[in-house]
Amino acid sequence: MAGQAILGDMVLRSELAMEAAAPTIETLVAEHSQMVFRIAYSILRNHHDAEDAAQECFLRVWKHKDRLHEVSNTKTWLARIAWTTALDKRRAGRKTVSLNDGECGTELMESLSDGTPAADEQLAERQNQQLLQRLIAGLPDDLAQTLELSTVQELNSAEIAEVMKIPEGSVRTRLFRARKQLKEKLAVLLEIKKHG
Amino acid sequence: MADQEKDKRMQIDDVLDSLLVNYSSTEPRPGLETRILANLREAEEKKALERWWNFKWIWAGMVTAAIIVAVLLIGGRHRVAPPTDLIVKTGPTIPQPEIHPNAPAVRNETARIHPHKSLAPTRPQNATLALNERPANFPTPAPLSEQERMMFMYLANTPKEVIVAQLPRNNDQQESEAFWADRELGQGTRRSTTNQ
Repeated sequence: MAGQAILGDMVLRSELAMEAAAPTIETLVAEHSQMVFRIAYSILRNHHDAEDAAQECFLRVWKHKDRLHEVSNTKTWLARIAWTTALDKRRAGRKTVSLNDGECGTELMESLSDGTPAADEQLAERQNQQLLQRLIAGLPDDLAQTLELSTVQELNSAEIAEVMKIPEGSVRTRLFRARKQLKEKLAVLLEIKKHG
Repeated sequence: MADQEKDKRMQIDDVLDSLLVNYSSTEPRPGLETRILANLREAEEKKALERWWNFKWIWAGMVTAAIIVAVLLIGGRHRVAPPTDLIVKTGPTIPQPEIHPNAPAVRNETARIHPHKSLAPTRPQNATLALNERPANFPTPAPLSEQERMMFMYLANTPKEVIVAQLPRNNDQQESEAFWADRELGQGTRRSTTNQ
């Protein structure tokens, strides 16, 4: 009789511990909404679309709220949902981005000029980001997606590997290749600037 | 020459790093968490409303089905009895003498005339037909029984005085005759005394 009571108490405690360990949706929103937004922004490059994707991401999480206790790493789980949601959104409204090196070179020349006034820094920064966006869009999809996730401050290479469901070594290799290709394109642009 | 190449590579690395650092370092608009939570609450209310609507439709369907079943049952009850049975049932209510030679023929005839009609129109037609077929001498005389026949024979063969004499006299009549006899006798004696 006493043994049964002790066993029942243990079961109850473990159930309570599981319930306590399971995060609520409000907790997830409070802790990870910034990361979710940044992941979406890294892919969609638009504040409005990124916020829509973040909303949709948490709606997807809400649909599985009864199974939250089964998730071992909520951060990477949520990051993966945000990533797939943003990719779906980008595929739905994808616009073909043409990379015109000559046009990019002109922008780069303007932005890399040494004597940029402080008032124009913001504009120059925006132009630089648009240039980088176009350069990344010219990369193969696997390299571009890995590089985009690597720009999110909250994710390290191990977490990127978990989000993309690939080994961590593959993440590093892809990042190296992506950087190499980007540097080659930048070198061409700088050459144009020097000779132009 | 080699130093220039190295400087160029380092410059490109720096440019790329600076561009990538700021690539996703954007901040969402203030109140992102609040908007996400409000959206989740709205989704929850919508789901609850949808669930309620589903139950409402189930109830409405059940009520409609019940009404249809009731209408079918009530409508079917009016059409249950076949017309031939009704005629047979209504037959005994109309007096039909068993000894009448036309009686079975009449019954068969009515059955043939209305093989598939419902109760409402056939009932008055049957009654009219039965009245038309009623014999002229109604009620039809039945043959005399043995006892009656013997009594008629006795009356025919016996003189009337004998029969009258055999009729039973009740006490009142006897008393009445005695009274008048006494009275006549008394008047006779009084008349004789007055004459004297």
